[in-house]
This record gives sequence, structure tokens and C-alpha cells, in this order.
Amino acid sequence: MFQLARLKVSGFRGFVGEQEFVFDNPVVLLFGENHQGKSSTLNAVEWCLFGDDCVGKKTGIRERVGWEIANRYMTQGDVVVTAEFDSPDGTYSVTREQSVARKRAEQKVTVTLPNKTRLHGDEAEGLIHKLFGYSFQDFMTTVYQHQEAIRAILTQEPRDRNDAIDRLLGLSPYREILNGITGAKLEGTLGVMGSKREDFRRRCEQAIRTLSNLINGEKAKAISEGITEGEMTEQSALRRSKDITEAVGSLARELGSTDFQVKVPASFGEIADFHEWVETQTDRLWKQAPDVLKQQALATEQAKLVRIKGDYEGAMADEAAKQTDRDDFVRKFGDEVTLAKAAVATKHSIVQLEDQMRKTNAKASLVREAIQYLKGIAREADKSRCPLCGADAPDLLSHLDAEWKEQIKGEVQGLEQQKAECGAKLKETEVLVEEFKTLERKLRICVARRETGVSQVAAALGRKIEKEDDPLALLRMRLQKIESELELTRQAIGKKREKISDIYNQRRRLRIIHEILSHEQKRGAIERIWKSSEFTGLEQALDEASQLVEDMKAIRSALAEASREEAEAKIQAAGAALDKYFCCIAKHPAIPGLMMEVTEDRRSGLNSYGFKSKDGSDPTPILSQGDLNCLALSLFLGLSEATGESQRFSFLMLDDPTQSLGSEMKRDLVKALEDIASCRRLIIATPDTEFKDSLMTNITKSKVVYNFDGWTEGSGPEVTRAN
Amino acid sequence: MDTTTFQRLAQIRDKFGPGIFGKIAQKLLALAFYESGFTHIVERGVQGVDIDAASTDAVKYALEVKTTEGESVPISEENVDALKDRVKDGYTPLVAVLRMQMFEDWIFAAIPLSRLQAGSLPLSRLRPYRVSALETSISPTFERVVNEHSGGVLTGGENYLRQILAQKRVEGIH
Amino acid sequence: MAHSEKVLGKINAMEQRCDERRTLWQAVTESFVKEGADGITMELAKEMGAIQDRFDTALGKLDAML
Repeated sequence: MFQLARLKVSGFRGFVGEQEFVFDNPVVLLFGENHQGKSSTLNAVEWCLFGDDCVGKKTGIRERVGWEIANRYMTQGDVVVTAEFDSPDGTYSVTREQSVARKRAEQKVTVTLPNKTRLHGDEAEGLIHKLFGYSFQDFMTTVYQHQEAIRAILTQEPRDRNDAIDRLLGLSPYREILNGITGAKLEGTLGVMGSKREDFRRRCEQAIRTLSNLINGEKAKAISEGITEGEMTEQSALRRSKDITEAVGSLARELGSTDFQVKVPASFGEIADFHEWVETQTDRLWKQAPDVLKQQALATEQAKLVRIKGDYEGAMADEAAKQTDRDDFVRKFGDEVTLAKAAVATKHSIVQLEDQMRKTNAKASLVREAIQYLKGIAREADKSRCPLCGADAPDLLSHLDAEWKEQIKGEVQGLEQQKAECGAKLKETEVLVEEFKTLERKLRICVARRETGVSQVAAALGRKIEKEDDPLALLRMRLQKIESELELTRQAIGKKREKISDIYNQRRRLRIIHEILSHEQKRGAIERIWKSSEFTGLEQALDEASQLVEDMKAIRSALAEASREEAEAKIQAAGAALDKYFCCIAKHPAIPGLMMEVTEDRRSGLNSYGFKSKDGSDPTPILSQGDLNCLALSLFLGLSEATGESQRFSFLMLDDPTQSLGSEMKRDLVKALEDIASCRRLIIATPDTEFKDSLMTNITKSKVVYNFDGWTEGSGPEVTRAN
Repeated sequence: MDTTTFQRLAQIRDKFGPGIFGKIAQKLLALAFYESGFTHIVERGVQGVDIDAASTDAVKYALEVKTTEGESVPISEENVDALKDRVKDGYTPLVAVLRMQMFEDWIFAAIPLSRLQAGSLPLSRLRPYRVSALETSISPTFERVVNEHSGGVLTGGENYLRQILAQKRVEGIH
Repeated sequence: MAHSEKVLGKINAMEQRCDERRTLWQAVTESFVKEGADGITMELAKEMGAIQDRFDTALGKLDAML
């Protein structure tokens, strides 16, 4: 057994300068507030023995990911930790060093044997493993209880608690590996591949069904066309192609074509192009056929003549209508000369009337002014005197007034009336003149149009039209002749059209057979996909993926089984001690003894821990935080006790063991530690004053206290030893 | 299998229903084993493993035969026990599954009995244990057997195949 | 590591594919030592990824044939 005798720490985590600890008492207390370096002291022992094994992801401990070794405030120097172990053979000293500045620097390990021989590097590492025979996992489950391990169990979440108990039992690597395997989601990927394959299969199936339906449809069409099942072959298709070529050749000869070139498909693949060739050739031959050309020419001429005839007849009708309008006008109103004469007469009348009016107006204005003058005179006597010569004129005003009213006014008005009437008449005549001119103009236009029509008829018929010729009659005659010629051409074309129709029918039947065979070929090609090397490759990949999933499942099962077996073995070994310590420390009134069991979580394969009270009930719902702490401590102490004779180290390290414990539990823990102290050295780090006092009072073995205080960046903790 | 074979099997399934179709498929498979050169065939309808097949070069298979349209098959405790039973006599236990979908074929899987549990067995779990040599041999033979006998099956059902198998047994003995 | 040996023992006792599963387990433990659980996830995902790539390539060719 190896007893930790001395520890020197420099540059490690919270430490700066060298600090020495001597473990020369059965109980060594590291006491001080949080963040003073107590845990770092215990960690230093661990790092000295196990180096990188206690750092990083491979530990399976979350807190150890990114765990810092070197003091973060030192920029140079080395991390140096030396641990001395006393044994029956003498003192072994282990020193581990690492550069502060270079994070990934190699560690230097030296082991000094009792005979002062020094081993370095791999040899030293090898001796450490051989000498102490412990892995880091073993060390932390049976020698050094980390405060993080206690903290981890203080959770009500079953999954997290199982995780914490696995850690307490040193089974974290199993858990982490299982989680790593699960994280790869291999089954999910396999499922995706399987789905893609199935999707592809369905698409092929759909394509086959669609093609089969098309084939059946085309076969039904073929049968209705008189094609038998036996004729739906490539040979039949090629034979029919040859027949069609001969028919097209015969048509070409009949149509007088000299540039016809024979084409017969030599294989099934050429038939698609052959369809196009037949269509192109028959179209071309037809369009170039003399009868067809003649028919087209006659039709064109016919259309032209019909149009010209229509225009000419229209022009003639217009001219006749305009002539009638003019003649009616002249009958009613006279011609231009007559109208002109009437206008002149009316003008003369107006002049005369104006002359009369001038005379009448002169007199009228005299009388009007005299009446106004007389009405304006105030003296009555003056009203009977002539305003011009001053002669007496009795009742002059009334006389003048009567004259005005009875004669003059009426005369003037009469003349004015006559003048107005003459004016209106003149206007009317002028309008008629304009109207006549318009009629004359329109008539001239119609005549010109008709004459243009005659020229068009002459040009269309290719002859001169004399005055005595009737253009319409000439047009009618020509149209009759065209119609006769068209009839003859139609008859000639009709016979040839039957031949073309026959060729088109043959072509249609060939197309149906071609469609059937093409669809069958495509269907065959899809069926052959499933025997192709590409499909074989797909299946092989899927088989490989399935194999990988199956292999990893087997490995997972093995992992889960090994983890559970190890858990069972440890629980079995530590069971009685676990119960003893739990009852001793927790003293739960409702839990008369505690048993632990492990099963496999079927979903994850991880360990699932359950607890039973000795009366068979499940105590988990009534476990407080303090009880869970007791559970963690009991497990550790139980496992430690279970190692018995195989225990290589004769000391235990406890880091902050009283988290969440009440005063009574602390006292009971001290009692348990009193028993343990009789066979193991105890190194306890705690900030708990009550616990410390209880230890100092109730542990009967000699004790020494290292007080941690006043930690600074520049100097690390201030450590003083007090007995 | 090709589409013609699939369509013939589909016709049989549509006529007789999935239950009887499974039994017919089992008999057709037994016939295929005969055609592939296996001499000693025992085809069972009730207790025990569905098919025992032994060849002249001492290869012996015990098959639990299943048909499905889906992506899993039900395995019962009896199925597992029956296969375990045949292992004692030197037979290699196989699960034989025909997925009745176009382009699918028989799968013959030598899944370890320790990993075979009663319940729904996904076809994807059979892949790692496929006996490719047997699949390559039986699949084309099975197609021939179906194409040859589908007419008879449609008319005579299971009985027709019983008679054919009985004939084969007699021929085998002589 | 002790857990590694325990699992290896169980793999050696398997009915089938001992060699392949031993090789896989070795790869798993090596990844775990280097990169922890994440390392295992990445290694397995890489292996499956290579198979999936071959699968997808074959499927692409088959799609083209269809």
C-alpha cells in the first residue's frame, strides 16, 4: 500500500510559487473559503499520477473538458508537481512537469525509486501504471471523491442522476462512448437510404404501370385497325415501312416527279425518322403535282375576277344612284343656271327695298325726333308750334303721334319685313346652289370609279374594252370557263387523293405498331435496371450501411452489457457498505436501509439506477439534497471499502463532502470518518467551519490543518500549517 | 422478380387473399428449391419450421417463410422456437421473406437466433444477414416455377401445388 | 483501458463478424481517446457518409437510366 507522504506544487492551476504539503498525520485538513486552492491541491496529486488521462473529453467528465493545468496568470516557468509515496519498500517520488507558456507542451515525468534510481518518460509512466495499478477512473471512484461528483448527483432529473452515479462508479467512459455512437444517428441515415430506394422503386413501378397502360391502349387501337397480336413485331413494322415506301414511289411516278429518292428503314430505330420522311415526301409531291398547281392557279384567278366583278358592279350602282339624285334635284329646284338667275333677282329686290326704306326712314326719323322734342317742352303753348320754322301748329304733337302710329311705323315695319323675307330667300337659293355642286361632284367621282373598274376588267382579262363592250358580261363568261376547268381538275385530283389517304392510313398503322414496340422497349429497359450493375452497386451500399448499423448495434449491446455488469459488480461489492454508510450518515427516518440496483434503459442502452428501501419501497421521491449527498458519499466510501486488500493507496481524499448536509448529518459523517481514519489517512478539503470544528473535536486521531487564505493572481494562495 | 412474375403472383393474391397467398407462395418456394437442386424438401403447413431443404452437398436450411406488402414481418415465439429446434439437427436457420411489391425478390437471411425476437421484424434488419448465393440461385428458379404453375394455381389453388410437390417427392425418392 | 478490454471480450464471444466488429471497436476507442464522444460521432458519421456517397452516386445513375 502506498501512503501519500508529501506534495510539492508549483505553477499548477491556482498555485504560482512552490508550495509544500506534508501528510504526516492521520487526518489532514485543507481549510479555507472557496477559490483558495484547496481542490487544486487534491487535483495536483491526481495530475501527477495520471497526467493527460485526467484531462479532456476522454475522461467522460464534462468539467474536465478544457480543464486548465497551468496557472493562467503565469507567462513563463513550468508547472511542477512532485508527490512522494511511502511504501514498505521505501519512498517513491513522482514528478510531472509541463511548460506554463506552451499549452500543448510535452509533459516530463520522472519517477525516483527508493534506491534513488530515476526513470523518465515512457519508462516512468509505465512504472506508475505497474506500481499503483490504478486507472484514473479507479482512483476517482475509490480514492479521491471530487466535489463535482457530489454536485452532479444533487439533481432530481433521473437521467442526470444516472449520469452522475455512472461517474461515481467510474463508468463514465461507457456512457460517453454510447452517447457518441448514438450521436452518429446511423439508423436515421440508413432509414433515409432505405426511403430513397423505396422511392426509386415506386417511380419505376409507376413508370411500368404507365407504359403498360399505354401499350394496352395502343394494342386496342391496333386491333380496331385490324392489326393482329402477331403483327405487333419489329419485322412487321419493317415490312410495312417497305410497303409504304413503294406506295410513295408509285404516287411520285403518277405525279410525274423526277427527283424522288427511295428510303427504307433498315432497323427499328430508324422508323421514327421514317414517319417524318413519309410525311415530308407526300407533302412535297402533292404540293408539286401539276393538277394541284393548276387548281391553285385557277382558284386564284377566280377569286380575283370575282372581286373585280363585285367592285365594278358596286361602282355602277353608285353612279346610277348619284345620277338619280342629281336629276331629282334639278327637277325640283332647277339646275345651276336657274338658281343663279333666281339669286340675282332676289338681290335686285333687296336693293329696291332698301332704297324705299331709306326714304321712309328719313321721314320717320324726322317725325320721331319732333315728337320727342315736343314731348320734352314744358310749356303747353310751345307744343303747338313747329319746331323747325316756329309757325303755329295746333295739336301738333297729337297729330304727329297719330301720323307715326297709323302710317309711318307700319310702313317702316312692312318694308323691313319684306327685306328680311328677301334675305332669307337669297340664303336658301345659295344653299341650293352649293347642294347642286356637291351632287355634281359626287357623280363625277362615281363615274371615275366605274371607269377604273373597266380598266381593271381589261387588265384581268388581258384585252381592250371598247365603249360598246359590256365588261360585266365579259367577266361572267371568263368565270364560267374557270369553273368548268376547276371541275375537271377536282376529278383528277380526287383519284390521286385516295392514294395519299391510303398512304396515310398505312402510316398510321405503322405508327401504332411503332408506339407499342417503343413502349415495350422502354418497359424492358426499366425492368433491366433491376438487373444492372448500378443497381447491384446500390444494393451493396445499402447492405454495407445495414451491416454497419447492425455491427454498431452489437457493439452498443456489448457496451451496455459491460457497463451494467461492472455496475452490478461494484454495487454488489459495495452494497453492504453503501447501506451501512447511508444509514449512518443520512439516518432518514423513513428509509430503514438502502439497496441499489441497476437495469438497462431500453431506449438508450445506458444504465438506469434504482433504489429500494429495505421495506421494498422506492425512497427516491423522498430523498432530499442532503440525502443525495449522503448517497454519493456512501457510494464512494462503500466502493473504497469494497476494494479491501486490493486497494493500492492507503489514503482517501474528500473534496467538500458536506454540500447540502445539515448539522446532524455532518456529525454523523464525522463519526463514519472516525472509523475510516483508523485504517486510512484522510485528506479533507472543506470551506465548512462547522464541519471542520466537528472533525477537530470528534476525530480522535491526530490532525493537522492547512489554512488557505488570501489568494492573489501574483502569488497564489497563502497557506499556513496549524497543528 | 420481373414484372410478369409479379403480375402473376398479384393475380393469385387478389384471387385467394393474403392469408392463402402466403401458403401458396411457400409451396411455390418449396418447388423452387426442388428446381434448384435441393433434394430433400419438407414443406409444412402447421407445426414446426415452414420448409426444410437439404442439398446433395450437405447444405441444410430450415426456413421460416413470410410474405408481406409492407416493410416488416411478424415473428412469433413459435417461429423462433421452431428454428432453434432445427439447429440441433444441423440446419442453418433462415428467415425467408417475399415482399410483394414490383421489383422485389425473396430475401433469405441467416439472422442469429440470439438477435431474433418475437415481434415486428423490419426487413432492413435482414439485410446484413442475407445469403446472397442462395438468393442468386433461387430467384430465377422461383420465376420459372411461378410462370409454369400460375395457371394451375389460379384454377386449383393450394391443392394443385400439393399434388405437384407430392409428385416431386416421389421423383426424388426414385 | 479496462472498459475497452471488457467490451472487446464480449465482441470476441460473438457468433458472427468478430473481426469486423473488433476493427470497428478499435476505431471507436481511438476516436474516443483523441476527441471523446464527439470524435466517435464524427468517425462513424464519416464512415456512414462514405457509404451514403456511393449509394447516392449509384442512385443518380439509376435515376438517369429511368
